[in-house]
Amino acid sequence: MNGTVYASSLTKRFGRTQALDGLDLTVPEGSVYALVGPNGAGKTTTIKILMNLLRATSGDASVLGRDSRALEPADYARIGYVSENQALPLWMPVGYFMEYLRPFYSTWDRALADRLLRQLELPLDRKLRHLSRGMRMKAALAASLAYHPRLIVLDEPFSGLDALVRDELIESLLDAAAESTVFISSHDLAEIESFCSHVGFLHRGRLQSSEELPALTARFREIEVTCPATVAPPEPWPEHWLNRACSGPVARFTDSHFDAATSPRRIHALFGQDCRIDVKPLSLRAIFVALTKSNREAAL
Amino acid sequence: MQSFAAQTLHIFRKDIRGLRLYLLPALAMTALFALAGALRAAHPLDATLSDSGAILNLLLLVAWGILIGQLVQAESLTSDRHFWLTRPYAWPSLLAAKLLFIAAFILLPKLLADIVILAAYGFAPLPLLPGLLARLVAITLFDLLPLAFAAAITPNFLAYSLTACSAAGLLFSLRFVSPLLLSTDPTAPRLWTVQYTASLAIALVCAALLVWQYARRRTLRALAGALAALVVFPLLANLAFSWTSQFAIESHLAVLHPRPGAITVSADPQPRFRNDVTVRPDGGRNVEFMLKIHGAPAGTVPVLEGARITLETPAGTLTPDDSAPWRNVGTSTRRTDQLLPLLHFSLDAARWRALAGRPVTLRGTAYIALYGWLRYTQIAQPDRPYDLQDAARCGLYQAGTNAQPVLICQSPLGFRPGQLMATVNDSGVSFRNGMPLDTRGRLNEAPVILSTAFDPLQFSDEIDPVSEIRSYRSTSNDNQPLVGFQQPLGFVAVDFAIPSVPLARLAPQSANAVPPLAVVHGHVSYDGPALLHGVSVTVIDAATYRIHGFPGFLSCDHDCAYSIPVRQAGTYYVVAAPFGEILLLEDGFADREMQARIFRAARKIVVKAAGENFTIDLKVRGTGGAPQAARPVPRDASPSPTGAAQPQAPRSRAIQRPVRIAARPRLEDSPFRAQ
Repeated sequence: MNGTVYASSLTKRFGRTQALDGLDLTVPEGSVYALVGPNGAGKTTTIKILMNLLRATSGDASVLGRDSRALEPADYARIGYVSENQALPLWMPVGYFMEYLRPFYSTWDRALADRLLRQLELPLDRKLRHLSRGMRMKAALAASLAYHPRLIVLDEPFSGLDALVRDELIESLLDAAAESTVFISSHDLAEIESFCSHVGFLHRGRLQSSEELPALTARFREIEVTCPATVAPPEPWPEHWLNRACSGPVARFTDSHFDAATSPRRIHALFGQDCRIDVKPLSLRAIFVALTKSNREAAL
Repeated sequence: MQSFAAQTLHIFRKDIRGLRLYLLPALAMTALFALAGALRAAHPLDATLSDSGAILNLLLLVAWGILIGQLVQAESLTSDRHFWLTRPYAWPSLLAAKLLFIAAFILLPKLLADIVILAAYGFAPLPLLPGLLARLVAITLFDLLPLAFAAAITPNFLAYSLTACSAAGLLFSLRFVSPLLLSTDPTAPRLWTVQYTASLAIALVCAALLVWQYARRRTLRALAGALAALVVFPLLANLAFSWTSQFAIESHLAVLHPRPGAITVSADPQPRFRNDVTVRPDGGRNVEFMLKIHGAPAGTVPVLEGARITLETPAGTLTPDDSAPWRNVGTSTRRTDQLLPLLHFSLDAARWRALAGRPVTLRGTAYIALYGWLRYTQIAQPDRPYDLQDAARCGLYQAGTNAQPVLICQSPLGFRPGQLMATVNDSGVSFRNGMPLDTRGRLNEAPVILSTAFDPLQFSDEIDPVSEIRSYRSTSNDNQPLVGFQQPLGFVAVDFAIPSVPLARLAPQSANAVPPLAVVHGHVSYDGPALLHGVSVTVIDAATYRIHGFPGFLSCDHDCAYSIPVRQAGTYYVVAAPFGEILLLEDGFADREMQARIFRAARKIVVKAAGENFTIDLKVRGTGGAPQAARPVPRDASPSPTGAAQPQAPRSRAIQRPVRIAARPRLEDSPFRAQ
């Protein structure tokens, strides 16, 4: 339990559906941890269990060193939680919403709150009901950053927002949360890649990988092998070569354990020394797609 | 972090702002409730105001229900999406804020409305404050907290509304499981032991589950707990307490404990009315048998509240159809001026045949309440209330000069257990021949209510702070009735055995078993005042002046159809009159003027042979339209029953007769007092 967020063997069942299946997770303090995964992987369920909004079927989880099932008001005063489907008090004008929440937090920073409201261009007198979805997310984020939370938990905060709003949210988040741990689940991998430090890939309720973003991007490479004659696929393929395809003299795959020193030698050994190897780095989005496709093929 | 109080007030202020659209109608409804109550006090005969009372009570409950639903669901306890769940809310503060809101905007306005209503009725509110607060506690426990709980376990307002209605429906359906628990049958005695234990247990479980739901948010378990309580506690309470066990508890708690064997029950050797057996349509028999109760302590009146009966024959023992003790008794059904103890039981055809015409021994237990400490108050003037000690406040009111006066008794926070007696100086004529109804010159006396429930707690969630009883069986308008109140002092179960009762020889009177010889039918139109609520049509035997057919109450504003079977040949009058006047006619309390008015419009028919049908259209003109002329106030003034100097009308001849006055001890010492 040495992370800001920690989960061990976490399982959650909804009837016959296994949403989480022995999830182990550690979010280091001060990190910006992105939890990614396909739809139904269990991201929102994980976050709800961590926030004590749902009860786990089994396993343990802790947040800021406290069992998530026993989170108290004092703990929530150190957590900022924003979710795409959070039910806000829609009758409240933005200004009153902020004023209403202020007394709950001893660390509320009025100046920061004002700055966030200005920065996000939130109309103080307009009711939350009359705001667009993006504006509501901005209001929720402002209301979750204004008290310097130690942990910021964001569940799909960019879902359905246009590029400008996303940029504004990220900018505000990075400005206000420099000293916080950020735990974020999102599909918007391109945006996440720009600021996250760690990435966890969740698939069918299990964490497939969890590491720092540079290490992740360093070990994933798209490889294209071009040979003089038709390529004979190696038998067996190395397991960490994903999404393998051969077409005439060209073979393509994603190496999930690429090492600049050893990987080219291995490829030459399998395909022949006269083959040309093209190595391309992968974006987080491409890595996500590769992993997802690979998992889908494995399931078939 | 905020302190408990600061956070409570903070959420409370937020709720005021957020719920103002729901708050204003609820406050307006409370104000309307107060206004209607005050107007009702000022205009006791206004039927519209009187009728609106129940509707306003319901609307007030609905307004409270809507407000509570919105209040609780402002911070939904069932959702995992609500913003407050991940904010530093302390659940005790949240719950306290909601309770504070209920206290401030439901209970406090209700208290003020109650005070306004009580003051309008002329009751001093300050001495009643503890009772008012107790009633608010009851309303909170039995109505508001269950509503709050329903809101706390439902995700939205629609689900909340359905849940509240379903719970009400479930409680209603429990009537069929437990006929006495929530029975609205006015003749059924109130099982306060069952009601208190079941209602209190359900209310306390709901309150505990509400707190638990705020603390833990375990909706399904809370719902299961509430459903279990709703079903289990009424059943358990019914198993735990019966009418007889309640009677035993009352006997134990009562102040009067007669010596065992001091009170005895026997057959009435000279029954004022004939013991009777009537034939039911299914061939069974209804039996009425007059009893005599001996040995009641001086100053008390024994009232038969129930009986367990078995019929012993040489061939074996039979029990009547209905084993509910309270159904096996009654006072005389023939409208008399006294409470005559009467066994009343039914036997189906098979059991009747099993008697084989042989005499039986009536054996059983009579459950007798001993009433005492009777106090009378004279209603000296109409249209103003008189205090009946601390039991009630009664007045005689009249809609117009020719209208029938109505005796209205009111009591703050409900009537105490006891009997309210109206003793009227009738003009002394029967409708038959103008002879005095009672040649011994006694006053006609009839109980207005007969409350047999001991109910020492009187912990009620009634919305209306003033209970009211209206009696149309009053008297002519120049009368000065006496109204008395007596309390149950003791409850005694007495075993009895009456040998050789010739049930089979009692005259069997056919009721509906005899096919009608003729049918009188037609239309009756009515344009009378709303106070009397319609008309009744009656067929009266022209020779005996007994009522032969009586279709009952017709709620008729303009034109109604009626149909009355006539089962015997003879000459009859068909008369129609406002409902209250028919009651007076039936009771023998109608005065000459009223009789003349009724019989002036009567139609005479002669029934000779079977198959005759008479079509008779009748018209009844309202009698209460003219406003009453102002009465001259006499110069001399005497102390009123409440002690204040009040103008007094000249006493009639009858009132100068000796009047029974209550015996010691003082009423205030009674343990049965409401307050």
